[in-house]
Amino acid sequence: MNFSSQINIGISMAKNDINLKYRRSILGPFWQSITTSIMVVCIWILFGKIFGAETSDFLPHVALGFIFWGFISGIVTDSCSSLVSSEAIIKQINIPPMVFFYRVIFRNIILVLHSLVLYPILIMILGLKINLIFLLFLPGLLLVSLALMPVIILVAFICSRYRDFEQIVINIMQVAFYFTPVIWMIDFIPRDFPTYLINLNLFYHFLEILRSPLVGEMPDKLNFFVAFVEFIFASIVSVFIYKKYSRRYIFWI
Amino acid sequence: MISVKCSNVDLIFPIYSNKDRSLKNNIINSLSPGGFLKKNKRGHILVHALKNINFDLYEGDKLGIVGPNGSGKTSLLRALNGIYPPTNGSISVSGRVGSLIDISTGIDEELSGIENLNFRGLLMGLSRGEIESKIDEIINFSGLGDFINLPVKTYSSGMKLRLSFAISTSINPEILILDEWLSVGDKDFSMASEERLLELLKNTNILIMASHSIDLIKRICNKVLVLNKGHIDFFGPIESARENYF
Repeated sequence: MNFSSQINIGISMAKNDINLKYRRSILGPFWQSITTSIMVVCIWILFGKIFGAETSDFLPHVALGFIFWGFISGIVTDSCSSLVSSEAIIKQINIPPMVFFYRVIFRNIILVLHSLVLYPILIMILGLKINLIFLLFLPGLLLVSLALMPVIILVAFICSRYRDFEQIVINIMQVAFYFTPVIWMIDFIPRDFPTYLINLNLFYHFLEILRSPLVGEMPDKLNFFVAFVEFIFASIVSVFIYKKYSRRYIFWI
Repeated sequence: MISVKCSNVDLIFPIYSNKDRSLKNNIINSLSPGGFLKKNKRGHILVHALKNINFDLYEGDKLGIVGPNGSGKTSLLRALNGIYPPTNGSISVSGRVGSLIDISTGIDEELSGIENLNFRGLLMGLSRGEIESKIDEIINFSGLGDFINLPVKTYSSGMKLRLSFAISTSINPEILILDEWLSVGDKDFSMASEERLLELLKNTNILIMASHSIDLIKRICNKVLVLNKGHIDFFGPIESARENYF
């Protein structure tokens, strides 16, 4: 099965997933945007008051933070069950597992695009200034998706073999949410706060690469550097794992 | 050269579960017709599904696989299809493989007939262009008419079979793997489906079919492979198979 038909199947599965999720619902995928807005407004009111933050900074920060955190953590947690939930197909058709990993990526890309409908609304309400840095968003999305690919491979294989791992991943992502500046800003932290807690967090760098261009800021060089290094290193590991287990994993399902 | 070659193929499944084998299961195992169960070093139960399988098939061969339930027929078909990697030995298949192991694979009840056709087509390795060119013929053959635009969950079971049969048989493989002869639907459709399957067979170079029907195998196949508890009891031309294997 060649690369383009693998991608095609992945996209098709992702579209079917989305269609099924919102079948017979009137607002359909825009529930995704509504759910995000409700959350964002609550956080903005509550934490904006607690931290005394400026609305024009904090609201887009939280909104885009939520949207992209949903993307990143969606990919990681979806990959846990990406193979196990497709048992029926895997055991009947000779199909490379990569197809199910593409499905996870594309499903989450479709969802994030639905959430991003909020972005123009934010621009209108707050009169956000956008500049050309905005164009960095698309290569950023590509880089983050690529950097998450090896993570999907590793998590998917480990979760198929050791079923407890899914719960561990869910817990890790929950903790990571609080350690990542989604509902708080770097500006809020006290000066003696250990910054390595932030800089060692892979998801922080991914999030900044996606979010900064949309608020008109250049992501830090460190963000790109970390994402790139992770991509290279994790890819090497995952290629080994994939080569070793891409056929044997069927016995784990 | 289109061929299928199995040499010294062993297939051992590890079974990962928290339940250990009990004495009761021990006794049942020794009586069951399936492969023997063993344990590996880590305490996982191992199912020895195929043992030392050797056979070669060449162009024009039509192989019938017979054996009681649990003798490894479907495991062998899946291994030949590249789904299960052999634990030992090697399987080399040269030629385009089409398999009808479970024809309703990938059919999603919530999606409409036409959506399912498109998706199944992709799963079977067809390109969007190929699907496009075949879709009218498939819909026509299925005889589903306007139902093709409704979700599959609104179909009767016969209609579901028509849909999956029509899409599954719209392939043109060089090597065809069949798990049981498919005869589906009411009188009219079952005749049409028989015809379509024979047509498909005519255009394939090698057929591998598991079946419980001896008459069918005698009618279709020229070679037979008798499986028993995962190993080959007999492989050869159908004329020389002793009657008692059947």
